[in-house]
Amino acid sequence: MNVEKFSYDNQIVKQFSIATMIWGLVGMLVGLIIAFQLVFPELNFKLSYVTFGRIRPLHTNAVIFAFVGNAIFAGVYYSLQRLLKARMYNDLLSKIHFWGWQLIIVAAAITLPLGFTSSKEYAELEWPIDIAITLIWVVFGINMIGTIIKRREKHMYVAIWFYIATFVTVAVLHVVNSFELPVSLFKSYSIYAGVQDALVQWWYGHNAVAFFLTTPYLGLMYYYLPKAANRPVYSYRLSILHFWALIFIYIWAGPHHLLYSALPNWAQSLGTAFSIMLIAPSWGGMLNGLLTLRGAWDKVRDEPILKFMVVAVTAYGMATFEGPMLSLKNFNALMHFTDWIIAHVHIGALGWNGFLTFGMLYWLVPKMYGTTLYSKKLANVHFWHGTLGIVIYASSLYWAALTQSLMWKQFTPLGLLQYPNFLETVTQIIPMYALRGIGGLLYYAGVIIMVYNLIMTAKQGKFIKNEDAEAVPYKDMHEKIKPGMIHRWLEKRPIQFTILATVAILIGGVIEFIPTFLVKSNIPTISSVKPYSPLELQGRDIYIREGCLGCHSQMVRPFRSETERYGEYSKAGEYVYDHPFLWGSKRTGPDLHRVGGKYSNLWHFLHMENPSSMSPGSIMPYYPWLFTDKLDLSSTESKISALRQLGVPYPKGYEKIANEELINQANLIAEDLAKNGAVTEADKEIVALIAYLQRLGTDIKGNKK
Amino acid sequence: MFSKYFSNAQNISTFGIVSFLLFFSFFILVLVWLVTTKKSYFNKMKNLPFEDDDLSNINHENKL
Repeated sequence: MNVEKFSYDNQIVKQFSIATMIWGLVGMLVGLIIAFQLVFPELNFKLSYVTFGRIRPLHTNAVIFAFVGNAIFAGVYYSLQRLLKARMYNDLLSKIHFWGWQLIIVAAAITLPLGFTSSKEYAELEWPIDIAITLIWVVFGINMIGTIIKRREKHMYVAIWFYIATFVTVAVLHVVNSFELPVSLFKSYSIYAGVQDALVQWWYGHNAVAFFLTTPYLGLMYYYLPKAANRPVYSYRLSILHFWALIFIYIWAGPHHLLYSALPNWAQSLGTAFSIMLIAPSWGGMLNGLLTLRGAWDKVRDEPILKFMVVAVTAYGMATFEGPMLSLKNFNALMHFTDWIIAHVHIGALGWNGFLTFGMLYWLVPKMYGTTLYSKKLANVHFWHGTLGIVIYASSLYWAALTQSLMWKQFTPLGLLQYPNFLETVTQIIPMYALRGIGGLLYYAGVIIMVYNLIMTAKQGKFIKNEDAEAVPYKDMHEKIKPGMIHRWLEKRPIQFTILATVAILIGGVIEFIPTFLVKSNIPTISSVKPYSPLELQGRDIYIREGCLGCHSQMVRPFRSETERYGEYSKAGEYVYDHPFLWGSKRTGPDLHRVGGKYSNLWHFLHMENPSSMSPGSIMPYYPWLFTDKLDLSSTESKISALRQLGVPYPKGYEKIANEELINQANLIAEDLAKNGAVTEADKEIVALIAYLQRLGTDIKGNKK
Repeated sequence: MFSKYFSNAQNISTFGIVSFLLFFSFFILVLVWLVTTKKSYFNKMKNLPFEDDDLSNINHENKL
């Protein structure tokens, strides 16, 4: 038979591995900073670029798309070539993919601290960067599918299906969620509003977890775990079953992020039902990973790589059990908006993604440098730092979440809130925040040890840039398809396979969206709900810029404990002009949906200048720049026009007189402030923000003062 | 509570049934695939990552 000689490209794997480590260090450092900002608010430095609201998205984006993203690409580029017995389709595409992705990360690292954000969680980057992401993602896809087509192996191993599902689904998610109308180079409005925007966002948000943090990592697990353990995966049948079940079910579960919200009830129930079903395929993957080690557990004792992988897979099992539990309405009612969610995602991020990445890097780097790991002992030290770090991180936040949630809901025998002051429930858990920071610090120390260990490993070896290989070309292989070989037939046809996987993930999305969009007219129009005034609109954009929604929700759930604290529960019809929606997902501070009219203009003025002057012990950052920076009036006209285009009923020609109205409203607020002893010019940003906060939730009656 | 907003939507309840049927039939289809496929094929597939390293004789049924 004709045997071809070729080589595997290790250079691209090395580049992505280095990027993984660098961005991991950066992203986790930002995480540490924001963790300690909650304990020591002074760490916000009264500087806009490093306030919690702006750098929290920097942390999430850096860890998800820079650290995990680069790790996925490193892992995929190494395993794909070997599994298909082919070099990557095109070296130039590999290079464009690598440098393009790093440029996107740099763009994110610059724009997010500057306050350029769409505010949609894990999709904060503004539209020019969204387009760049789409292009680079397509480059990755072409490179991967191209490699699959020119392969020298008949069958596609299970890992590759996970890679394909990742590629198509992330593409669909990113494009659908990023539909936005540009106002300027770095400002856009989501084309969806209110309830629909929330549904699309959490369909995206949930599946970003599913198809960026889960499916590619399951693919990596199916390659690197058997390789590291030197034994094949436990059950290939199970891998097929849980693959199809996982990608089919995952896409439906998004609405569980919106339980008890103004989202239609049927959509909430659908989200819950599919979330519970998800336990089965998720645990199928976990068990398949763990059982791969059956008969080889003795190896785990002295091989740190396997230790990392076992903890990773266990953390995956824990997080995928916790997720469905959090989707149950009764548990969700308690834990949504609390730190439990932060703990939950970090079991996934630190345990599953982090530890699998570390295990993979410890295996990959010595292989590519033709040597052995510099120090197993240091790897073990890393392992224990990381494991203890995760345990401390999660348990302190679980404790904090339970404490705070119960305090929120505690009534006195007379039927009044026991802790009516929200701040009381925050100061109670600050020691737990400190402990969480220490957990994070331990984990970070471990990562530094790993980077040192891997640098020393690279130094003692010699990098094999192109690894020689040989295999029989695909065209020389023949196999007759017999009945009962449907899946084998499918596996040999990557294009058909990709299409089927796409259909599987689209069904869920379509069934969720169509009714919600069709019944748009059934979201009762509340006649008293009017579009924002120009000043309020500008204030809202400041709210978005400063990332207020990172700590404040705008969604009063229909519980007595919430209506007592905040006022009338939120209605779907109140959000019809909200492009984008700002419901938030975490209450580090109180809900703000009914804050309008609750306090005086002066209160807001003093509070934004120095939160602890109005609320002693507050951990909210100071916002001094809002008092010195002038509101940008030049954008008003294009903002009004853009929103009208999206269906907000501003009268024709309104954009021309918008600034006039804006100045009038600002003057009124400035006069009121002056009357009460706070002198400011009406053209400062703080005035617009106050106007927005005072408007919030005042459209309907029944508001609790 | 919010369902009253959607009471005007036609046949909204069928969505749940359609979702269930779609998933259920799909699941059965995959099961049929798995049952009708021969074991030798699975053994071959799961050893794909190892072909280079000549470890293809390991499987979980044979104790090492």
